[in-house]
Amino acid sequence: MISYILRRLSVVIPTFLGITVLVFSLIHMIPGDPVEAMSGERGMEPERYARLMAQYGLDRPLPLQYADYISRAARGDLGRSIVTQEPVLREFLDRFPATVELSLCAIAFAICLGIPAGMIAALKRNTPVDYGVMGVSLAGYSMPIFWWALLLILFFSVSLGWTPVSGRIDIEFDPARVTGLMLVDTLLSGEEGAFLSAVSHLILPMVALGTIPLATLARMTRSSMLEVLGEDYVRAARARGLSPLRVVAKHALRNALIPVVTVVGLQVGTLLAGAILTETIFSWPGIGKWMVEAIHRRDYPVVQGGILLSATLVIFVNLIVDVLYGVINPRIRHTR
Amino acid sequence: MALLEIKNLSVHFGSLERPVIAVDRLDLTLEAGEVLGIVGESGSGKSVTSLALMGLVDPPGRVSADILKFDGRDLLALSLRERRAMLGRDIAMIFQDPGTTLNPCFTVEDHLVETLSVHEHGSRKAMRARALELLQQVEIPDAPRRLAAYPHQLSGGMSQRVMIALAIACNPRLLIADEPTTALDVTVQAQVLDLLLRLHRERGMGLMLITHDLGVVAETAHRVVVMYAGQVMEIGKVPDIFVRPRHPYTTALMSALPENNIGRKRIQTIAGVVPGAYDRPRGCLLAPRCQYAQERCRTECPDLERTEGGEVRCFFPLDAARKPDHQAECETLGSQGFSS
Repeated sequence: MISYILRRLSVVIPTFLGITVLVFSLIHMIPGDPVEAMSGERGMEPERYARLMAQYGLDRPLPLQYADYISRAARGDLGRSIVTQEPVLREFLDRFPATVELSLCAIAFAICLGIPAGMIAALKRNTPVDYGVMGVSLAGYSMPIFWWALLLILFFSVSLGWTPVSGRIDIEFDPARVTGLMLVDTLLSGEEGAFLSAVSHLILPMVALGTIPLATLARMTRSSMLEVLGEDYVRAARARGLSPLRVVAKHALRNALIPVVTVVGLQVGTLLAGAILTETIFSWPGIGKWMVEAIHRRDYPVVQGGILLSATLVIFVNLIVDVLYGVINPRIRHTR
Repeated sequence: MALLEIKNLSVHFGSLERPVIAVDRLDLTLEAGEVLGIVGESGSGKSVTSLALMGLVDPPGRVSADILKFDGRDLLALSLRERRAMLGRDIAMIFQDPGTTLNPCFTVEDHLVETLSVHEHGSRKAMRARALELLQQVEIPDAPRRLAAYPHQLSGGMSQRVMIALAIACNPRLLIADEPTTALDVTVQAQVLDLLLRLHRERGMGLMLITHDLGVVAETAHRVVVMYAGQVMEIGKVPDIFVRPRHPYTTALMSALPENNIGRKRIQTIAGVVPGAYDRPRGCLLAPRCQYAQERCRTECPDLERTEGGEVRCFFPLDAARKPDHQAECETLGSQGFSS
């Protein structure tokens, strides 16, 4: 197992290099630069512009800038934001818990609804229940997040007034930051109503972000379950007198989940991408919103650092998923 | 009283208007402690019969029978739950491909303990001890270590032994073995068969041995049921049926055995294929492939008739010289025949 993890980690370094080259060249392809973005509409005198460009090292040839960036990144220094002058890593860590909270809730929402829905569809295949579940999930899968999020806001926040429109918590609450996860912090603070306020702020973004993974999981679980239900060991289990519930929930589901777990891992990338839209719409102070703002300001170190850190996250989550895969699938565990 | 009594069992699939007939009005009895061989080509309804008997035919499959009795209990009158409680406890089954009938996610011990705990009460520790004992009974070497093994770590023969251990776990009265040796190596086949017969003798359980290997049947069974396209063609005692088969299909199956073709360049086969779902002949199902078929065989379906020592479904059963009763007639009329 350890050699497997090490082998997987050895692939990480070339992946990182590839990502940095890509991000570096892409961000410099966008017209404009941070100094121009800061100077506003009236612009600034050419001498001052040149001086500032030189100050941030932006006047040097791109390959040199890249080499400089890489050598510092390798030592753990992702630079400072050009706009706020804060270290990129600190800014990232400040906002990261908000995104984690949102993403975890979204994936939990997707798993809790998607897997049972897929199972039910498989067990009731070719009935109205099956068609209903699959139809709804196809619709969910096809829905653009920004549009779906706006619909949710219009209906639940504006028309019904059930939930707030944006932010993480009502302004009257200010729980002490312990974990950075609002749900946990409000519980720890013991302030009355704070937790409920945090929950009500979380629900809509969670649904908006979790819908696509939910639909993917439901469809995946259904097809995987259908395949497994036709297997010989399912028939053999029934022939030993096991109850239908035990056969489905234990013998079939365990095997059906193997491909589903992989998909959950792959969804993490989708979630981070979706978080950028969701956080922007709901003014959720996470890394998605942070990076969108950084792109507008051409804040090169923030964009580069943010993408690098997000990529790290995706890579590690997938590694964890692969290790988990071995836990539920003994065939992987023993054949290295 | 027979351990198992089946009268008029039919299994249909597909639509009500144009059903696919998998088993057609099958009658069968199996005495306690008897080894009953069921033989026939692929698609002759052998496996579906056993699944119907277990109550494991899923919709859209439809099972109907006049009598379905096990050990005096009317299976048709039982609730689903009561019927299920009998599976694995009174009637157990092993399948063709041991490589796919064990759940890849669970160890041998998980399988055994689960089956025991579904049907019997007892502490987990006692179940574990029973599991080990069962593995030793099916002659698995190094049994304590094998308990922790996952199915993919076992060979085919070993997996089939585990399946047998699972089947005998609750001392069933009847064991259905559906092609238990087909997927195994030849050397392992004999060992697994020996094991099955030893368990059958020691425990006095009935054994329904489904196979297309006549050699296996000749060595092990007391009686043989020959099936074709969902119908019973002939039932007879071993060795009578091998010495003197009465149905042309039985004869043809035997002529196709390699040991009956020594010295020939090509093994004799039966021309044509088992009738498909929607092109079942109107008369005798074998008529299109039978070299002795008469006009009557093509228009009218024969019933299963009692003969001395057995039953046969044929208008013109073969005599001791393996010729039909209407020998003179058939040499001019028999056209399609068995190729040789």
